Amino acid sequence: MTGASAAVSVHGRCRVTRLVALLSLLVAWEAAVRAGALDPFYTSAPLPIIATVARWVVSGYILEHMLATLGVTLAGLVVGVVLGVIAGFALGFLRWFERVVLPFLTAANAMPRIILYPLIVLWLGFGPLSRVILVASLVVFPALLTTHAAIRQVDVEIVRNARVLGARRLALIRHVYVPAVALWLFSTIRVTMGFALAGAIVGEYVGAVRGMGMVIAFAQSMFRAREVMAGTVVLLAVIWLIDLGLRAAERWAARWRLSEVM
Amino acid sequence: MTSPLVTMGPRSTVDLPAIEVAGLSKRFEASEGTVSAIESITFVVRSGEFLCLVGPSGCGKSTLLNIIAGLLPASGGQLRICGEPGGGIRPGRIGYVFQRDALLPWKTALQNVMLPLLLRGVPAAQAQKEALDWVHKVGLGGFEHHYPSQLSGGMRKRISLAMTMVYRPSIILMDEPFAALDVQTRNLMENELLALWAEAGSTVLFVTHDLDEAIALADRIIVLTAAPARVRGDYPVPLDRPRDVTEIRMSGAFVDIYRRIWQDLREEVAASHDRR
Repeated sequence: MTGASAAVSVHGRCRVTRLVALLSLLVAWEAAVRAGALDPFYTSAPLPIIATVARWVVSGYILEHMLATLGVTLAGLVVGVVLGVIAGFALGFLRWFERVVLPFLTAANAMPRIILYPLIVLWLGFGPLSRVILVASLVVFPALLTTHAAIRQVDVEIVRNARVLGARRLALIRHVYVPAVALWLFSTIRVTMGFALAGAIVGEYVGAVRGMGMVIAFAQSMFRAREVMAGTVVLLAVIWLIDLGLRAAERWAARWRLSEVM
Repeated sequence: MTSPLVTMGPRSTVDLPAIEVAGLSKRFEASEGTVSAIESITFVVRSGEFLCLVGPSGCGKSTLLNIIAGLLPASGGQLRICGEPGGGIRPGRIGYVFQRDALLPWKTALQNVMLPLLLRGVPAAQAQKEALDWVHKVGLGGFEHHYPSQLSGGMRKRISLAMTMVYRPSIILMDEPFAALDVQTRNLMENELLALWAEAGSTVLFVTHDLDEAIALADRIIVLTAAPARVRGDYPVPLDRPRDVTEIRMSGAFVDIYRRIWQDLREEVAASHDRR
């Protein structure tokens, strides 16, 4: 057996084991509820949850709320990343700006920005705009600090070489700094995607007309554990899909780091 | 004859020295006070010449190249490139091969070699054609779409060389470019460098701490003192060209030159060791 096929079979075996573990957990859960060991009022059970998800998907009910949440998440993410990257470049290139502003930014990054939400709502109301700003505030600092760090870490020798080859400031940004930042930015987006979605959902818990947060909060207020869990399942599935896409983007941005000859 | 532009062109490349360094010095501010890296150094590199600067490690050779390239300001003295004052990055004039290969890791070999052409406004299609020619010329045909991380140290060095030669700079600065290579690859690269240099007719200022390498390559060798760098000696290398760097090392003339220069260099190496 060659090394490659051995690796594949180990990988495959892990995958099967993982699936078996998950299924046994679900079966045990369902069995425990049926046997009366768990109270379905609190825990619900896998089969009813799956039935609820299926009903929501077929009726299109969940699509409407999912799109609302994803819209807010995506808008906030784009605003946050764009502002963060621009500020990160400014910070990376302007020393005085860096010295004045960086301590504030580091402090702001350490602060749980979700506490700003009541203030944002006070100014802008319960509409989606408030939630977009909340999400952007969650994303902007990691994006900014990553961009800044990536610019700082660019190899001096590479910059010198590019300058000798004739690169002026704009060409340096395009050929050296942007690719250097892109590598880290995709990783940061992957990590902050979780914050962004969490921000959008928490924002929807109170006062939202649409959105997954509203669905879950409403179900919770009616003591429907089944629907709370169904909402969670839908969110998990969507997050998993998004992460899959972001992982592909990350691999693409880091393609030059692969060491094996293809 | 009436237009000054027409008469200036050939004169500036043929008559004038490629590099003139006069009384150049460089001081750095360090925690323990001002450190002098280069002290009043003076020498001339003639147009088309292959000049090696030899000195003990850490004597300020790289600093000198960085000043000539225009990457560092000098603290005092004068510098003229092709008769014009001031070091400086002027497109097409100076090429610089670094000790560590400074390829852009996110570009393929071909894209790296294309970069200096694109920066000079050469249309992409033509830049690609010329760059591909050079990738083949340095013996890496078939590897043009590999990223630097997929190439060996010797291959990356070849790409660095192609990246510099592709825009035909009249002066090429080299800072111990082959120091990290194994001996066989290194001798191969040295021979290729000599061939490329003979073909391009450019001026080469080559920094090394390896006297063997300097004699095998150079027309002339300048030995620098231990830090702060000053000129210790200036030696012609009257060996025939074309040379094979591996064979020339065994000739009697080579050994004679080596012995003569080593007398000077040995003292400087000892001085730089005592200081540590």
